[in-house]
Amino acid sequence: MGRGKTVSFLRGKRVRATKLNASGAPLVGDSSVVVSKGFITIGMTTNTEDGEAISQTNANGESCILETAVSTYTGVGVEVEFCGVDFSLFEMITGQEAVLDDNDVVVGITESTDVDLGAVNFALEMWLGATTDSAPSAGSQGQFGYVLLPRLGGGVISDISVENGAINFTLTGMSTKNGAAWGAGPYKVDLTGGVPSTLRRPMKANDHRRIMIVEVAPPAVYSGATPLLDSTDPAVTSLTTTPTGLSVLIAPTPAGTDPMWYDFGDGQWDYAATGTYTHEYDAAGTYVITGYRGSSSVTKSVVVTA
Amino acid sequence: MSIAPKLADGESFVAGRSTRQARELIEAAEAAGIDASRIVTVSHGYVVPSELVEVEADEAEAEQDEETADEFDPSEATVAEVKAYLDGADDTERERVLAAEETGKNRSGVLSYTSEESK
Repeated sequence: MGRGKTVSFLRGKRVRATKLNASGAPLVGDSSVVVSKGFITIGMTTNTEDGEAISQTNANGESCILETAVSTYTGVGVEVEFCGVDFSLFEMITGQEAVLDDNDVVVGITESTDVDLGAVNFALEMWLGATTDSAPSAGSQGQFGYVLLPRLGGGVISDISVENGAINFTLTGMSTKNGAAWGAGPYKVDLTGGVPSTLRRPMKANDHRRIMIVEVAPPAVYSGATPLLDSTDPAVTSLTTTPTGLSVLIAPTPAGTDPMWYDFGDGQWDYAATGTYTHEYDAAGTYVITGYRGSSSVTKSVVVTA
Repeated sequence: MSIAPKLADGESFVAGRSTRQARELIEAAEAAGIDASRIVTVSHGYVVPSELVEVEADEAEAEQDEETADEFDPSEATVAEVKAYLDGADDTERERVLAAEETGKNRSGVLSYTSEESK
């Protein structure tokens, strides 16, 4: 223990929810992650259990045994109020069934009493604005507050008021659980030796919340739920792009059929379960494509013509 | 509006997308000795080498043939054998066997069979 930073946190910048499996570990899959900045408030309530005081007087009426009550920390309750509704996020947090349109795009949610909230598990990370009393480290992308709740149980959509004004939605009833298997996490949120890395100090099974300063920028926001890829898949080192008119064939190097997902640079993204993907742009132009495989990513600029 | 992408010679389109379907296509390609990295994900499905579709069609046909081969063929049995078989068959199978008999040997002894006979 020694040197420390003091920090002032202000404003919430981003929130990321990650689907967990029944053991509390991040779930690799094609729709496991939602990043949003469409929240108004995130309320966190510390839960404690009051202990029992022990007091005994002797026959003379004097205190013989006196042990004061000790409260026990039992976790954190969470409530989030949203101004921007991302039904993929609602699905992840509530376990309710998403409604898809004919292009398999999530356009709604159906609430049912069949859902077992005890079986819903997700992790929640938040990035806050921060000002600290120390200079940024080498490789810093800025200084941010970072709050991690590594295992939360499912919540519900709270009361809704339809009125002449903005209609906001609140998700409530989430609370942290023991048995997190987050470890160092699947994401590069920490800075190690000037390079983004997973958490330097992994979370333990009964850790319910971490609040810290990080120097890696918050993740980009995408609409819908994006994939969480298997970190053991081989790193992608480059992309080969073959444009034909407005269409571009994108192939990873090293070649293979491990899943990838691509940000096409035109505001759209998609999951490529076979690794290779053909994307059709709406207009000619120069686009920067980002491809993700395992825990790696690579970018490539491509020019498409009508 | 068609959801199929423009295809080059030697390419076929498999509509519908799921992780499971992608895995099955990759496994089928590997089993057939086809380079699985030629399977390309597109917005509504997969573009695959045409030979993969042909292999899958051949396999489906072979599977169908195998199923057919396992079926009871009344033309290879005597009237008594067919009746004995029908006694133990369910309604669907009885219908199939009687239809096969009708288009085959068309023996009145078989065609007059009703399930009441077995009772």
